[in-house]
Amino acid sequence: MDRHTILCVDDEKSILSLLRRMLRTIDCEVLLAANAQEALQQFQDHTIALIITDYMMPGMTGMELLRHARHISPDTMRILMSAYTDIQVPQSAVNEGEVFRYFTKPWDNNEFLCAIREALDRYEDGRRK
Amino acid sequence: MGKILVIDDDELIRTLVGDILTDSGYEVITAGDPLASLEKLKKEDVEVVLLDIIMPVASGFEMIPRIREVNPDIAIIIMTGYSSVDSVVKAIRLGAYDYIRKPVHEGELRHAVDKAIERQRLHLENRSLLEKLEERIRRLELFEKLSKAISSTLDLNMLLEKIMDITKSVIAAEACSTLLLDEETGELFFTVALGEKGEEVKEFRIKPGQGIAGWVLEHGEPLLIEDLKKDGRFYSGVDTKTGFESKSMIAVPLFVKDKVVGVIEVINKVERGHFDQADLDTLKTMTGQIAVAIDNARMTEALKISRAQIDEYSKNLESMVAKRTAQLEKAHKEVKEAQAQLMQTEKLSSLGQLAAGVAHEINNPIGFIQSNLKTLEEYIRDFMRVVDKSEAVVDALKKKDRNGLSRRLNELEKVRKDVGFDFLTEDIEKLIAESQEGTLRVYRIVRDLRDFSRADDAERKFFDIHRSLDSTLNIVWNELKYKAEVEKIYGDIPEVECFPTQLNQVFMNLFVNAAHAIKERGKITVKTYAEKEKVFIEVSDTGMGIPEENLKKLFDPFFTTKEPGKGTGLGLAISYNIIQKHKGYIRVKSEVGKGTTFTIALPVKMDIP
Repeated sequence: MDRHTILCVDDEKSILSLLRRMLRTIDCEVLLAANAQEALQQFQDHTIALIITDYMMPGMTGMELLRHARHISPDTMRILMSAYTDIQVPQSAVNEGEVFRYFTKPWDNNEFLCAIREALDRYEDGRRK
Repeated sequence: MGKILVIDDDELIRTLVGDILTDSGYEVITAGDPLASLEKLKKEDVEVVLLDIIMPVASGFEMIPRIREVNPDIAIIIMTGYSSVDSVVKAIRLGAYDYIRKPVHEGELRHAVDKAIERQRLHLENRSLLEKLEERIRRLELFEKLSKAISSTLDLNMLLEKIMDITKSVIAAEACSTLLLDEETGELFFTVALGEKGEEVKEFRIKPGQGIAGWVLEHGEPLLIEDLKKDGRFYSGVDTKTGFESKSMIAVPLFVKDKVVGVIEVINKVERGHFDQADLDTLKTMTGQIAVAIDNARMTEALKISRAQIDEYSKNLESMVAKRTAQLEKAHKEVKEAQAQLMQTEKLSSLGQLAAGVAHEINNPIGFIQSNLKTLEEYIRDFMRVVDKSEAVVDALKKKDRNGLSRRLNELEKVRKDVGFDFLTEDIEKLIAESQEGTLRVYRIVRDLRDFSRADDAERKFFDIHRSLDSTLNIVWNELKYKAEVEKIYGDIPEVECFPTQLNQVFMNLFVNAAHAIKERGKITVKTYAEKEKVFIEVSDTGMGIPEENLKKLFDPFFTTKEPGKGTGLGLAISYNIIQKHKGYIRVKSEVGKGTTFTIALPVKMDIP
């Protein structure tokens, strides 16, 4: 199995740091982006197995970014994060199949890691088919 | 001109005097017999009598009173042969006007007669004037009586009765009545009927055009009829029924506002007299007054009814007003309650907005602090593994176990590599620094929140507006940061006497609105400056702007352009109230497509005690 590439997107630097820390335990390549534009740029140069993005960001929101990502790279698994307590938007996103998982801040690291592993497995399954 | 009667038993003198006076242009009649002369006096229009004193049948002295009895206005000139003063004085005392001496001198005679005629003319003129004067007085008295009657009674029937009573006596009529028009049937009915058969007459109704009254009603013209029996228009039905005999009559129409509303009748002058033009004139003038009185009385009557109705209305009105007032009070109370509730809603809505924003701002740092702590725990575990291996190396060194040492050193190296020791030592500092920064952020938000809505809400104090702006900006940062760059241009301003919490609410509204006005990304500028005991705060955005028609309604309660459920429409209305309470003002300038600037002016000191 190749090393997977995971793209993390958040306008909050500390969140990006913690994602990198969390992903330390997973054998993968980690890419970081501070906004949607940067993230989309990364899609040009890499095959991305999983994208983890914040919802509220300047310019394009996380939801919009994920929609674009789905279009560019339909196989890429999508996880959405948000500090918002209003869960209606992400919920509908989950229901419509736009995202694989949705996490609100603060989250449980283990749960998050499980979800990431699961997402990568799914990605692997999808590629094999 | 009247005639001159010469009474003398001497035919010669009669002829002489007659000739002289005829020559002078007078018409002369003569009488030799004094008693026969009285008959002539009655028949002829005589102005002056020339009277001989010494006559066989009756002396001149005897004749003077008898002549005066027939006509008191005749000027009597005595002719006397005696030049005695006594007889002249006696004659004059009896009523003679002048005397001439016998034998008659032509000049003396002419002079006396001319004088008498002149005197007669003056006398008649005087009498006519006097009569006119008396008539005027009579009328004035009548009108005075009438106006007294009119003012003393407002009941129409009583009034008409009084008027008729006065009329009857003034005109000297046997009967007098007022007939009024029944507008439904067009008939006349007797409202008042004074006279012998008055009560019986009242049963009659006069049909249109019937009798004199009917004619007067139809033609609207007065009639004076000397002899009713000769007038074809006379309706004898009433007389036949009552047994009254109508001989002469005046009937005058009653006009009220150019409309005939009735007829006044006077019947039969008392003592077999005749109605004349003066009576008609009097009655005509009176009917004018009567008509006014009727109009007044009718109006009074109508007024009375109206008044009764009004009284009734006002009674109803009072209870209606009371009822309505109660309803209004209730509605007012309900509105007030609703308003209070809405204010509360707005406050809650702002709080909700605030809570969401604050939650975001807190959740982010809490999120990574928590995650970092978890990671730190793992880091420590990894560190402990390294420490364990390090301990083993130290142990081997102490025991000087060379083989063991190199093996343990290898193990240590492997663990260090395993856990990424270099990364760990480097990252652990970063992790702690980031977490500390996170806790600081949480601390600041909590501090600003406390600043934003402190418990001492009611307390007025001098406060640093910049601090207020900063803490509010911090709280709504989450709303702003994705939309706009915020530029602060803070001037040198004094502390302002205010209710800080309330001002924070205003600032929050302006900041959030500014952010909402920006579609993609823009700039929010917060500027402060001081001018003449006033502090100005400007909040500008580069957003979509507000159309002119909305600018007027901007501060109206419930005005919102947001979709239902998104805004209460009270934010700016409440802001407006708060600024007013601070004795300041809030203005707005906007250009569609360019942006909006809200300017708040606050007096440094509130003037109110």
